[in-house]
Amino acid sequence: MTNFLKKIGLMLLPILAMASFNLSIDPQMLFNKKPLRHVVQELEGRETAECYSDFDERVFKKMLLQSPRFQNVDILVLGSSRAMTINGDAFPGKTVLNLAVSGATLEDLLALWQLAQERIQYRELIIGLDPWILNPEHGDVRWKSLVADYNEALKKLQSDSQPATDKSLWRSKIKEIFSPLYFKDSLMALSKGKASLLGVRQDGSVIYRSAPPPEKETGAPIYKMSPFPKLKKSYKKDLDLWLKLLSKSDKPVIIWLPPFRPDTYERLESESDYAMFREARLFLRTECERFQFTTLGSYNPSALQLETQDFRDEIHLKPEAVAEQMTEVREALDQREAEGAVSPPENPL
Amino acid sequence: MLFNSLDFALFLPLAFLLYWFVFAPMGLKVQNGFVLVASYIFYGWWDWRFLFLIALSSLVDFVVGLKLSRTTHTHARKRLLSISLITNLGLLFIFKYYGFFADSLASAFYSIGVQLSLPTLKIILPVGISFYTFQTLSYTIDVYREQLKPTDDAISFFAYVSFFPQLVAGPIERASFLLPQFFKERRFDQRKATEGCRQMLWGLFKKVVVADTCGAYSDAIFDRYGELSSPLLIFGSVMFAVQIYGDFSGYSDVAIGLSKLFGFELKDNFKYPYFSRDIAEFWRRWHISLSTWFRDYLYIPLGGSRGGTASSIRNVFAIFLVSGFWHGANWTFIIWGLLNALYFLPLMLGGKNRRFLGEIAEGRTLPGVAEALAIAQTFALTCLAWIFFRADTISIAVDYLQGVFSLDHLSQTRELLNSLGIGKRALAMVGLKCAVLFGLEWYNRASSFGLAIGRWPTPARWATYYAFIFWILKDFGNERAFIYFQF
Repeated sequence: MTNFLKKIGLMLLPILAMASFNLSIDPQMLFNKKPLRHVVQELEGRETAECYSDFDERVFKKMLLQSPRFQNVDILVLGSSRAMTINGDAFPGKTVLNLAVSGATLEDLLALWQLAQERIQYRELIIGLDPWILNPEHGDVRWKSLVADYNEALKKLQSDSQPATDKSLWRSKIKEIFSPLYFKDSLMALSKGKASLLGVRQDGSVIYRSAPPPEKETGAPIYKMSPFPKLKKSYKKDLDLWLKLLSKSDKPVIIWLPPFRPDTYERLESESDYAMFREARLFLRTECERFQFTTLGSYNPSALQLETQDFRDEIHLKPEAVAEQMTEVREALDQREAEGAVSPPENPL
Repeated sequence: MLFNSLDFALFLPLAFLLYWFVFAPMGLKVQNGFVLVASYIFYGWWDWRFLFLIALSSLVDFVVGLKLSRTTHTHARKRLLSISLITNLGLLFIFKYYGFFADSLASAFYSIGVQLSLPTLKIILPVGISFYTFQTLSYTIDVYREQLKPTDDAISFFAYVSFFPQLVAGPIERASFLLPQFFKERRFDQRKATEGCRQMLWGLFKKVVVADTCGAYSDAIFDRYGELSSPLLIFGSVMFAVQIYGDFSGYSDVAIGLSKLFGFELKDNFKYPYFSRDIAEFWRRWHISLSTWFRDYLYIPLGGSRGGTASSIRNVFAIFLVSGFWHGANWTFIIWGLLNALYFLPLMLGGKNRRFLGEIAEGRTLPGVAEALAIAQTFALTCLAWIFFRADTISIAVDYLQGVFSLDHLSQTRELLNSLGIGKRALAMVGLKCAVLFGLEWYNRASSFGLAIGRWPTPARWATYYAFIFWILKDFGNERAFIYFQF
């Protein structure tokens, strides 16, 4: 038996060595939150901070919300990576806090909104609404970093959706530690040294530092849109509850529909695989009309006179194009203010 | 608990160490008690509420077995056997088949203009119910036939029925083979345990690396079958064939290997079925524990092939249809069984069903041309039948088949393949995985599993172990459940 156990131990040794290496480098900051805290601290004294690896954006945004700088902000931005480049420059004279996170699901939006409600005062809300927030097969578990806040949001909405646990997030994290692909990432992170992947601005928005990702093969599935078998009932219900609650608030809400690149949009419009995109769009449109939200932008790029060169990749606008799109949003907000619909921020003191 | 899960990765070493270091020195009864507790934890991890079903099945068969030993009256014995059959098959019917019968009856009445509203049961199918029901039934039937002495050791019997390595997806072990192993002192055998680890590694490779990859492609293709071209539909059915083989035989390999770690032996459940030269040989190599169960408890009692031609044909249809129905309460499984019966029948009627009893290409590296063609033909027939097995409804299967023989969308095959997210790299990778799976199985076809590399030089062996371990870890993304759990 001893001999057998020794052999098994020997067999497991390289795996444990790999896991230890992964854990020590932790290129995606799955366990080690120190570099994130460092970025947040750096932002206290500087305009931008650099991120040298992928990181848990949810936790980062949560940390940002603890900063005293954001006790009172004029504009709060929620959304996915498609809204992550919305920054204060587009809204002169106003303070902006961008809480958009990559691949944001409805769970993310609700959790981050809940956190903002709890921790800060804001006057206006911009929500970048993506069609995949209704996809039951979005397959993203990153939102589970904010599971407690999501559950809190469900309570606030009086939703009958089941509270979530962060079990699967922990599983994914542990699996990553034992994954040879993560080992590859660790090695790359080690060999890359200090090449910034992303710049983060004080307002939480990002600046791309790396080149756009390589083009996917023609016809490859569109991010988070396939499979998209149906609109999830509980998502529809929770979104409805949320929008209803927002509509009752005195804080103006602008819904911004981030456009897709022309060829991507054409596929979303025509291919049977994306039938649910059309359903989701219809549902979102109806909801926005029902609650009388100002809805700007469009999934359709031609409706905004956008062309392929305005896009960084199949779903992301270039930052300058985003800034341009924000002109309309700024005007809408200015108009609302002129109409006196915007209440001044409450003094937390 | 899934074999390919983190939970199991923690459960296994803990159970192994407790079993050999803590409970083995305390005696056989305590050790068997531990097997029982571990098995119930393993099953209850999925849904503890269904533990009562296993306990009920075990209790009924244990008591029936004891009572059978105390009576010689034919009527009383038949009554006792009926109690076991009604309880076990009754549970199976309620949990697995009630909905199907209610729907079919309602549809039949609807077709003659009568609206029939039957009560519906909103219950989920308990994992592995078909497996443990058949396992425990084999005990009662063997005791009834006086081929097996009943046991009065409740713990061992309950542990036999719920033995965690093979509880949820087989192999279905006969009481006459597995139960006596609970009564013998088990000593740790390093050679056996090492072989067990190798077989587990092979099983996990088949499941995590091969089956799950092929499954993703077959799912994508079956989901969009209506708009795909013939080559893609053929590719989809081949992918499903590999998926179901890797998935199910992978589970059996892990189960057999795991049992070896705990000092038990299980019977082989698969013997390289896709190398079969005809369908009869395929069925001697595929899900052996189920085929032999049906042979011994259904086919032979019905008369087997001893009666006239008509009764032989009836018996062949009976066994294949029941086998299909065992897999699930859906007409698709019945048609799958029917197709296999139709494949098998000409061989049996022509007296050719036992042509290939020996090893394939024995003493040769490669098969001859005729052999290779026979293997390809058998595989093609099997893939065709798998379409019915995989499809949700018969009409989907028929449409899928029509697509296979249609020329529509042929020119768009490459674009369609891309739209499924299957690029050149992905195709090369799936090809490599299948080549490793079938290449090693062909190389080791005289052994009981593909990674039987005990005789290789140590460096080559260890390099192979590491390659497989890292490959599994790399692909260890989703904890995708084994297909046969649903049966």
